[in-house]
Amino acid sequence: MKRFTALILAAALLASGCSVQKVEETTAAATEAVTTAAAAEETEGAAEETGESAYDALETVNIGLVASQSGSNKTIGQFVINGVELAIEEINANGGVLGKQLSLVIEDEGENSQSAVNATQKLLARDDISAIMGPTTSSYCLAVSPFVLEHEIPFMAGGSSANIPLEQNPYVWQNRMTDDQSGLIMARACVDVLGIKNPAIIYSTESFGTGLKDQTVAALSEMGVEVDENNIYGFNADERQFQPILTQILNSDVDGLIAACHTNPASLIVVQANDVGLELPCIGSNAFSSIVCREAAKELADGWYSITDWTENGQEGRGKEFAEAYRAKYGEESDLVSVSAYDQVYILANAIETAGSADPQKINDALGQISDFDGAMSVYTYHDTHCLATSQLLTVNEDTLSVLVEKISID
Amino acid sequence: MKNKALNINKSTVIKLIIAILFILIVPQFTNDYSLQVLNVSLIMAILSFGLSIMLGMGGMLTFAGASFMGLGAYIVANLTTGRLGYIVNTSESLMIAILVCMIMAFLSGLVLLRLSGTFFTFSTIALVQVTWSIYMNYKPFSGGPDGISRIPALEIFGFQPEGYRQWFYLLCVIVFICIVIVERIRSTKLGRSLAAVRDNEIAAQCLGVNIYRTKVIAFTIAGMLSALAGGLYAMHGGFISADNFTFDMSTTYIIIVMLGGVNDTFGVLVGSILVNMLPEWLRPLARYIRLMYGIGVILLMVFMPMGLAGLAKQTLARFTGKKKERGNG
Amino acid sequence: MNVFIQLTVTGLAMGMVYALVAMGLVLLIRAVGVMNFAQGDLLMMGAFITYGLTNQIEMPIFLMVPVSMLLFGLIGVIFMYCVYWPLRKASYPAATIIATMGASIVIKEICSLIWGSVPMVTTSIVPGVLRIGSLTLQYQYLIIIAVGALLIYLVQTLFDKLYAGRVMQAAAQDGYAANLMGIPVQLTIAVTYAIVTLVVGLGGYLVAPVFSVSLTLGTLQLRAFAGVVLGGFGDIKGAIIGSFIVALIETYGTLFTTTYKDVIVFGVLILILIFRPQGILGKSKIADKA
Repeated sequence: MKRFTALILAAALLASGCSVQKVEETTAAATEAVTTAAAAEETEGAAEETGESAYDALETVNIGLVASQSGSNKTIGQFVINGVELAIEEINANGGVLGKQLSLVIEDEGENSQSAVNATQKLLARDDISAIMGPTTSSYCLAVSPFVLEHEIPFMAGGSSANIPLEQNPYVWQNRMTDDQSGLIMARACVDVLGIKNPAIIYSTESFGTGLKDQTVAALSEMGVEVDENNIYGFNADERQFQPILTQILNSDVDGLIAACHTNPASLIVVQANDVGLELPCIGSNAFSSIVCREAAKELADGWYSITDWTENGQEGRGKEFAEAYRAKYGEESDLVSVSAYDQVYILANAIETAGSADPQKINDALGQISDFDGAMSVYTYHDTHCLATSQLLTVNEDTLSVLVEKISID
Repeated sequence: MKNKALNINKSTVIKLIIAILFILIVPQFTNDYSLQVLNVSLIMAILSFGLSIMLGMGGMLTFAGASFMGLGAYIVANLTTGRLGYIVNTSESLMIAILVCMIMAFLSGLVLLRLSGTFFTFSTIALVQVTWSIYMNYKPFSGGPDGISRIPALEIFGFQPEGYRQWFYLLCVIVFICIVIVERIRSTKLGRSLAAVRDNEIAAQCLGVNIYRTKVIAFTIAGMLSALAGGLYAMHGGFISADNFTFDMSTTYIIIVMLGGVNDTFGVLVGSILVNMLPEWLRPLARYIRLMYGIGVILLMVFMPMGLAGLAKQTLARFTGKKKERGNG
Repeated sequence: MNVFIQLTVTGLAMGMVYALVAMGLVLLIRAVGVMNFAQGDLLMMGAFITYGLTNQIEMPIFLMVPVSMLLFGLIGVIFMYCVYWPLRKASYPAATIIATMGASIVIKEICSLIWGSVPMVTTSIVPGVLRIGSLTLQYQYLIIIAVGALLIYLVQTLFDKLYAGRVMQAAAQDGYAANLMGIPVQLTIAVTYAIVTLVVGLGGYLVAPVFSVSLTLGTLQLRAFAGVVLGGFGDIKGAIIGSFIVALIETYGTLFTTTYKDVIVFGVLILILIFRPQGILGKSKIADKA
């Protein structure tokens, strides 16, 4: 009897191990619409000889998306998913790509780089995904970069860290301006437009804030404006109490404030800067013109300048079309990450059309030929750094709207 | 008495059979994605063994796991990628990491273990916050928030794993060695002293157990295991950043230990695999996944506070008609 | 000098926020010996619920406050029956701590499912900023300090002066003996949980206008823990003073570094513990129950 129970127990524990296998099954089940992964793999060998890719034998063109559906970045993730779904809907309504429909596979990015890696690995393990759109957090993009290289699939990074191009991964692409370019533009706007000579900088200590701060300081220094080390303040991404920092800024002799962080702290900085009576010219990262910040801080956000890739007002052409379509579909304003992800889909669709195939390698080659492609956010052109964007915007908040001041291009 | 000894042997045999079947069968049916998750769970199990020494044997709840894991990982990353200007080969840098963490854990153990119970637990929470802040911000050591990438794979005795399958076998060997060591500790004087300290500190003292020394040694061993886990983690994934070594991650390790069974090394291993695999299986739930996880943790504590191992023992006892054993074997 | 005074004022205001969280923690530690890792999330939940009642159901404040208090009390009791009562006899005290960690996740997720994760802003009852010379303080902080002090006074009185409080203490110190003497232990513990949740819930309502209603409000709790530990673990007065010390260290620390603020706060805490292993105000013989 004892032996019997032991066996049952062993079987139960074994089952827990064996259900690893089930992951495989569910993955396969999810691809019902398309030819099974195994089949795709089998035909690959034969296809290579004839020059036909196994991916072209699939009934749809599949694109993977790693976006946050749980945890603290869920807001951003939802904006991304909205943007992507809108683009796919539009493309499919217009006949799809290569006469086929685009199909989206979403995996949850989670809250740390390990779960982002897991999500990406899950997509990479499938053999029917033609391209992947990556996480919006830069360090997650860096974490998955080697696996993308190993699987040779084009990967549109959502992050804007200047360290991503340094990886020199031929399969990783960025369609937003990198932080070093933003830093340069930020510095120019500070000096040329706002006339700041001795700025204070506050930044959140995660990847985006630190990167933008470093690059801005470097760019300012090149322009002859040295930022005093004592006027640079970092804070944790979950910080809520900015009065100590703002008080010190108020009591120093600076003539302007530069802020680099994501949306959550942005609205609090705006409100608390107002509380302590800070009346300096202020310029912030894209978060300060974002819809989330403006809705939270209302009229207090007025007067803040911002360097951003996107503002939903005063757009023309593709940008205007997107802003209206987004408003119509979701009944709310779009965020920077939505338009960025929206454009990623169009860039990929364009590359697939150019390549005439859904084969990852061919798409990747086609991405290298992109030139003056008109997107909603920017005009995209191939650069050696694999950063496609060519311009950013200087905006100012007026009457709780974000108004375009100037479009700044970089070559 | 005799019967009990026999029982342990039997269960060891069962565990061995399960483990061998697991090692033989699993890699045949998995792709890179699942293997990768599995490998990470093996690495996390190594760290959790350390916690189970502290908690299960010594009754001390520590959150310092992530601190030492981070230290080990960053030392390995710095040495192997040549960020500091010189490159040390992988197995040597892993040794250095373990050694440094051993010293650090010993020193911090000397200081922190003078605190009793909850004060100690909280001081480890403070330690995690401090180290996380340093890992996040001190660029020369940690690469800042963008972390350190391109860490080479471990090369040991001329063998360098290529791909996750080989990593899996390598990790299985390492985990096996760790289990043997931890099991040995359990049956040595140190293990018995720890158990005595856990059950009744004053009584243990009366019996001549040097409580402070025992605790410091346990903390040092836990630190070394964390460093090993950290080093392996860095070399397995090739990338580390501060968000792998947060307070939240520390709680995950403690959940692993509690799920597996505080006193059962093999249970901890199973716990680690479950904690890592479950979120992956539940991926289709997407936005409800963390809610399910939280509810799962509460239910787990309510219905099987002794973890899987406790449950297994209970079930076994019920089937064999033996009286339910209370406490922890 | 200006900076110093302003930092002191801000620090004291923050200290009150931490003290509200810390006081609840101490009550639980005294009553059931549990370190509640979901305390910060209860605070966050308080902010969300009051936000929902005022801005979505549009209740007037005189109705909203009693309704939300009732809700908080109810949630407290549910909380107790989910993560404490079934576990009170667990052979490892760690089990109850882990259960509260699970509860922390559950509360956060429920709030994010209901209200989403976009931070929301509520306006204060008395909006605006108090300015004395170059000194500034949001009026909301004055409300926090006033209401906070009142809550602390009430709880202190309840537990130390009134019969009901003594009963609760008796139940906390020796549940078995208390039971024999006819004290309904289960009821007293449930009431304690209800009071604790009520206090932190109201705390959430109070801090919402200054910190916005967001899912990250829960991270306040680590600072409150620090306050509790400094105060000697188990003493309400100590925890409150400890909370103020933590908040002051935190704000003065920004004079030296803002990036490594955590290193300063928690580093100093470890240092203090090294030299005062029982906390600043702790008596050396407090029974260590958690």
